[in-house]
Amino acid sequence: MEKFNRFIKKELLIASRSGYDFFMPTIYLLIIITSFNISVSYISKNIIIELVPLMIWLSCLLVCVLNLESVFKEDYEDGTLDYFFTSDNFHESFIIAKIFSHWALSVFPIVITSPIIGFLLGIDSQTTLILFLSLLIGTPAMSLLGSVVSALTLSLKRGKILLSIIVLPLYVPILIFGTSAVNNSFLNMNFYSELILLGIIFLIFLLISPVACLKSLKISLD
Amino acid sequence: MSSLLESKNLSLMRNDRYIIRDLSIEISPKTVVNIFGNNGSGKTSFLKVLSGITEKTNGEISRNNVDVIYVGHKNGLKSNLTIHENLALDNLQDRVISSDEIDNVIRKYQMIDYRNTLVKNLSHGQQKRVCLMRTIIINSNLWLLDEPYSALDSKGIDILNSTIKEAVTNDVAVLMTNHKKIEIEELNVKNFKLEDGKIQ
Repeated sequence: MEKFNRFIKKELLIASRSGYDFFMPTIYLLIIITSFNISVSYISKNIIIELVPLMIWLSCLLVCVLNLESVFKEDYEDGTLDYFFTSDNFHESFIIAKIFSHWALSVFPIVITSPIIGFLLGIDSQTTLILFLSLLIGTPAMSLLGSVVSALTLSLKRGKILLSIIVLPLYVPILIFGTSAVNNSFLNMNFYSELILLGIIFLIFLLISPVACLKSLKISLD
Repeated sequence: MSSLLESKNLSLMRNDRYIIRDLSIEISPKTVVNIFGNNGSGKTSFLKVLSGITEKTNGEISRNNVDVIYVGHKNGLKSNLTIHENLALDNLQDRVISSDEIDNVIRKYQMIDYRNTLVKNLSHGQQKRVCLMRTIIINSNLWLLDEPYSALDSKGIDILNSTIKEAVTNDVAVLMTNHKKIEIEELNVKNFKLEDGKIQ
């Protein structure tokens, strides 16, 4: 646990030195949502309010995809991964720490910002809460799944496009359950089953992804 | 004395071409081995296979209670952290290293003035010295150094040589690659020439 904490501390320290990078996902989210709102501004307000949570979910998904490339990129380029793989002390827990810190630094800000944006755009407080919860469970699952693909495409020069093409279809179940939960809440229907299913997906990826990431990183380094 | 690492008939193929071919080597504690050769002779690939970064195509590698550290062309240091932070927050350490212990190592490498300097603001040679500091702190017993003398000035070379000497007295084995033969005063360096993936 001590090593895990040291890893997180190091990642946070690096992020704190990277300047404005930390705010980029939130700024990007704001731009996407503003663009969405401008493009649907001619539709009646009732329909827009119904669309807002779904727009936010889709925007978060896009921001997640854009961030994925950076999960292991720096460690790959500066030789940290080479250094890790020579040690017998390098385990799956490091991968979990890496993914967690990446999620906390690049996705969690938008998980916090999104409900605020939703609230400002007029969605009710319960739907805002469900939006927050669904993102809180759904985005780590997306990070875990995306990290595997990120690790696989690490050594490719044009990996970013390939990464998006592979990852976006895989995110569909998470998107469906996430948006369904929010939509059901908006329509005052039962949303618990969707949240539970999101939780199950998260737990499955939490078990599979670290092992798959290690194997994928090994392939990329080879 | 039992060997730390032994490879038998080690081969690595890429695109139907042998990068290294049937390489056998035995590394015992307190030994310094230098594999030298031209660019593209397979030196780095050999070290990467031995360290476990790259998967071998054929052959056997056996390790006997060995903690390996590989210092390659890429240094594995975080450019936005200071020297002290890089060493203190090393992820693979089992133990927590005290700040004083780190400062002592930095002082030993004559870089205490740069203690709080970001690694990105150091020269290539200075970064190599930081890698050496980390090697010392980690306490591994087999060092795999890929062209450690490149980019070092005479002071850096002296520091590296004395580090290797000290390490060898502490039962560490050093396997390094270079472009030419290496002689280190008071040490018996075993030099092997690598050409077209084979030891000549």
